[in-house]
Amino acid sequence: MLRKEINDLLTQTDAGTPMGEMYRQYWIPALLAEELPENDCPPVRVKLLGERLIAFRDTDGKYGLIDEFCPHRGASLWFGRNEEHGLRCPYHGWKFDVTGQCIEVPSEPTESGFCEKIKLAGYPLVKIGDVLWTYMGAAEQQPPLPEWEFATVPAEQSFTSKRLQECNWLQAMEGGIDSSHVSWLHSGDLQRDPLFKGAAGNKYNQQDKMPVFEVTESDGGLYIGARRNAEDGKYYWRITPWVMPSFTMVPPRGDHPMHGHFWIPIDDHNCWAWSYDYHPVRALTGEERQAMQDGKGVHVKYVPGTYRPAANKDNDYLMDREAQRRGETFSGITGIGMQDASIQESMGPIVDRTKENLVSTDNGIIMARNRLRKAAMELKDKGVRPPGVDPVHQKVRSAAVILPPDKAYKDACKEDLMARPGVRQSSV
Amino acid sequence: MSSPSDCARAATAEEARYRVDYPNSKPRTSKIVAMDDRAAAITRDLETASWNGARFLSLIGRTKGVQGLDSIPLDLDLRDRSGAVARLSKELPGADVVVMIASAGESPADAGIVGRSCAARGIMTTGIIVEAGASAEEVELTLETLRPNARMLVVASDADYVAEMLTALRA
Repeated sequence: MLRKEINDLLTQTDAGTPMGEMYRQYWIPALLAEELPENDCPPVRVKLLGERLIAFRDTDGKYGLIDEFCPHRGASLWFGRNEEHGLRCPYHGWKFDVTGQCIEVPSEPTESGFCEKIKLAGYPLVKIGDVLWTYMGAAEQQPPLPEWEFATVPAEQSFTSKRLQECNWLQAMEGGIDSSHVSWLHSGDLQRDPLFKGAAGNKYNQQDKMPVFEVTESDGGLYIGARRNAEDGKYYWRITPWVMPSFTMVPPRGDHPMHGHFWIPIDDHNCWAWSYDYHPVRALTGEERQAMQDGKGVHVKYVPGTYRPAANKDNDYLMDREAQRRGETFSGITGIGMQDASIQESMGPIVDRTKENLVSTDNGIIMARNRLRKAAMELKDKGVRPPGVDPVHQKVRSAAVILPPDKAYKDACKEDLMARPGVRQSSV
Repeated sequence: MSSPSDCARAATAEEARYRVDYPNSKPRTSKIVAMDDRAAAITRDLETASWNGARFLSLIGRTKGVQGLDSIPLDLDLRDRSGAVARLSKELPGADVVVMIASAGESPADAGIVGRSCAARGIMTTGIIVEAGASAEEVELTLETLRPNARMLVVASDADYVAEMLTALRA
């Protein structure tokens, strides 16, 4: 149960809200690089943290993310012409560079310098890995560029996708740190999904559906350890790192690529669920990459030409009651990503947490809310930079390990939980 | 124009207004046990707040003379907020959850009695270790003691997490 005022605080991310200001401290994923594939390509509408923006790539290959609307009469620059080092509004020809600076107002004498007085809000947009990242906070507080391992390994080792999720970011993110749902909602996929099946550790998930949890704080957020019984009195641990505000990494399975998510608010009723897969030491195989493109693992199939999942609320997520009855899927929905999204969207645009009945195994969620609330208020009241901004906090990994019963995973797995270039993931 | 699907219609903010508004759970019976003196200070601060029946207890020690077998401590003496002594065995029947609060660096050996007593009765157990600047070794020490006796363990940096968690659990 969460009081309404705290639910509001955590779920509202428009400019000027405490959580909105906190999100504006981070570099966040804004677009896939494939959305701006070449210089002078068509601009793309982007909505992030409740702000309507337009992204474009200019003649020199520089990326820009600026206010969507022309300051002259308010027309959308989505109709603009992206040419000759800027984006030109087709209504009266006003032109803007990647910073949002107006560089031409054709109706005014050039000598007047009028265009220098016009500037759209603009944010940096930087390509790292498959992702274009933006920072929407104050320029003088811009942090170092992100250093997440999935985005910094060689391109052939990584695959990133995004999907529209039609609910608030927090209930989507909370699914990512709720380890106890995996043995239920996703139970069929451990045996069938090509990106999950075959791992030795899967048997422990199947044998023990009541894991014991340990939640412990990290510098950047949390570790959530799920413990199941293994052989010889040892424990099988699956350890999920959560880095503030919304990065998670699923514990690995065998030698399958590692995967995880970011949840980025579009507005208070929609978010982007970013999903990445990477292998720290080898290229993805052709089969793995094809499976990811086909929507397997944590990825989804799209409505053609969009990033909206093909299974969505308008078609009841392609509910298959027969598959549910046969036990192929637990909820009747196909695919891990849409199993999560369908359930989370069913809660409504912003779930009313005053009515929930949490239990002890929800402590990961409770602790995450606690840390988010405190960080947002410390930023608001004291200007304290929140955890997760420092690139050191971003160098994390999940792990799946077998440990003796007397070992604390946070210490025993200190190295396993760190991103280490060229070192294989710790997995069972 | 095609009509929206069941899911599309049901997931709107407008439809959320029609969710049945009623108390969807009965009050839980939560026992909060402070396992050491510093933990007792934390729970003393919480006792005066408004709770849904949470009962705050602090550990005194092993009950003497239970069934005449002093060498086999089967029960624990606890103190409630009024100062009265209560027996663990009398507190557990009907409990939904027992939350053990421990300070990092302490090794509450009697956690085993709480854990086993709860396990025997099918009662959920949660342990919160309050770190409060303790070293990793101190946390490890307390973790080792609580781990076999709690189905959920949390290492929290600040004591304020205890209140937040109890509120979240409707204690």
